[in-house]
Amino acid sequence: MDFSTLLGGFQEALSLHNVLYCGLGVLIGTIVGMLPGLGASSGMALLLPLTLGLSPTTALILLAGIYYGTQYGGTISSVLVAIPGEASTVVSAVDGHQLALKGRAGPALAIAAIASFVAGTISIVLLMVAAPLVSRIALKFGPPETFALLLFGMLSISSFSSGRMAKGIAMGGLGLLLGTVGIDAQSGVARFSFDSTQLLGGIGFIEVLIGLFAVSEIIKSLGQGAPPPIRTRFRDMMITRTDLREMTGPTLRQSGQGFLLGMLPGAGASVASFLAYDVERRIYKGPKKWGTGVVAALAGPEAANNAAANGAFAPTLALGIPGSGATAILLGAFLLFGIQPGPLVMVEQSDLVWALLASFYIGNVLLLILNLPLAPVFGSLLRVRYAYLYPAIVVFGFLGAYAVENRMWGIWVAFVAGIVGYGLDRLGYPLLPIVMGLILGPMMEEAFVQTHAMGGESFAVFLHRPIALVILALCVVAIVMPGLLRMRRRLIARRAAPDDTTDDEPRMSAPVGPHGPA
Amino acid sequence: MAAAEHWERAGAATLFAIGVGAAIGGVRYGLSQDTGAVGPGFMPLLAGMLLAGGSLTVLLRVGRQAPSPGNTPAEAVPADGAERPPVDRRVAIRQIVLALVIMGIGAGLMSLVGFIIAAAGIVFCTLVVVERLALWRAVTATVVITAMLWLVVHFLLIPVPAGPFFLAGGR
Repeated sequence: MDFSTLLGGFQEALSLHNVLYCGLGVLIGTIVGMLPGLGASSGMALLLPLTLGLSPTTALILLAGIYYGTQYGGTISSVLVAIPGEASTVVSAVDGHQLALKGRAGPALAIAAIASFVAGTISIVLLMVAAPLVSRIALKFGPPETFALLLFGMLSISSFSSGRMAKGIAMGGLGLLLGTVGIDAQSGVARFSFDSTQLLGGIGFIEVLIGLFAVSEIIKSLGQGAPPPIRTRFRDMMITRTDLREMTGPTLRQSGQGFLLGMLPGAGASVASFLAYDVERRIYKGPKKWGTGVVAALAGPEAANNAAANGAFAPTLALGIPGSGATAILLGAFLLFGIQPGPLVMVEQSDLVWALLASFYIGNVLLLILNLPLAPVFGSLLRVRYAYLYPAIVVFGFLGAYAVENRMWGIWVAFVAGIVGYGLDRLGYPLLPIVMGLILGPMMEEAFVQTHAMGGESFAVFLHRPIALVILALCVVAIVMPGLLRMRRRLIARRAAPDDTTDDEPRMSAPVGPHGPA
Repeated sequence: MAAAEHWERAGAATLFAIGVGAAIGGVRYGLSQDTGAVGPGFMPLLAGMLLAGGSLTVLLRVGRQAPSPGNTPAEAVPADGAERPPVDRRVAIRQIVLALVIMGIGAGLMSLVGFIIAAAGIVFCTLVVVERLALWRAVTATVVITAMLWLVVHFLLIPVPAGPFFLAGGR
């Protein structure tokens, strides 16, 4: 990396004009990200035509600002009302929302903002130093590796099952099944469409997400009695030193992991956040029960999805291969301005590329300045009586469900998913595996079919792909290891107290209820 | 307890039936194509097997486990653990049904009267009928929420159904 070009990039990005547009981008991104159904892709696509009058550098800085602004905006709605604005912030709704319900919405948002900032900073440095280098790894990543990685991601279902493994597997299957509805992209066959033109287009995960998280949560609250408004003082909305200590490890770990996953085509920020949640659960040794408002469970995925968002720029810039839907639109913007991304772009358009990379850092600082002081203010929203909040959540949720494809069908899907989700939740079925199956299933099927075709209709192709083999081996370890460790613990316990233990005891150790192990 | 077990069994049996149906559907769609490529039925079969397998395990375990908390709406344990006033089961069911009816009618009316008007109707009816708030409070909250909704629709150019009142400027 040539530091003079980097300094030149900062000089360009720090011009008042560009800083203002960067600020405008992150602000729009934050607002768009808060609204479920309107993700980075739709926000960028909406504003793309408006950037035509700007210089290419300013236009790209604005669009990139929207892109990473949405990552944080999605977190705000996840934490406050448990409606993820983005697929990559689904897991933030678990522990983030639990923290909010305990009167710690402000710290939860601040933790997310700081984790995102740190991850953003680390990943930008990685992007600047290693973009051309890491892109070579991305080139080796074909369908077999993508399939293996997605399979690894699916294994994190156990993290979202809270000890109810059979129910978690069933819900993962239900998610996969919902993902198959509609026309199969590989063969053109209409699956489970029952002659309905609406079903031919498939069932979108955002609509299901809104139903499962917003509508079903509201029904549940009505059944349990509305939660009282959160009565916390403004100063309780501030982050503590303990929070900072608990978030350090997960943030640093997931910054690296998220960046690596983000630059892999097909993986993206959602897979990065799912895996981050799973990895941090396995590492976590703290006293709190996972899923009840653990700081690490919020900081890790937040760091991962931000780092992945930046990592996705590596293949986009260096190879011209978009790592996600939003970077595909950014790629379109490059082409719109007559710039061809690829290996030569770093040489031919070095001023623009370095200015863009420098603007990522400035955008991250602006996001922190914007969101850290506002975290207690956003958090104070939960002091409003629930009776006023939930009708607003319903209509904004319906708007999001409509906006995905601009059709009423989305609203009906959300409505039905809400009722079904409530029923499943009452019976103790975890809902997150449905979302995971629905998001990862179609990607996994595509990679699976392509892998099979690559190997001449054989799966022996895996034997020639060392990266895929390593990931598959990790999958096997992840499946077998917990069972082996449990057996080992039982053996040790039996040896330690041979008279006190019967064969049946270990199996009866954890009665499981709808809200996790009792 | 018996009712809870009954519901758990019914739920698992329904999911099992859906899983078996999906697996059969998968086989019918074809597990491989003429070219030898993976067929469109492979994923539905896999999904159906997971769903059927998981729910069958649940079905076989019902009644063998210790009682779990939250088997009726009135007894349900809030996930947040927040202290809430005790809820009469009949009142809770009435509120849920009313809220769902209002949401359903509101969603159905969106294409006819326009998104904004229907959304305002959902908010107002929920506040008055379900929450039984004073009229002036309900009107104020409806105006504020509808104004926010309109701003989002207007500035993000979301083409929501405008209805005869053309409030959204959509279609």
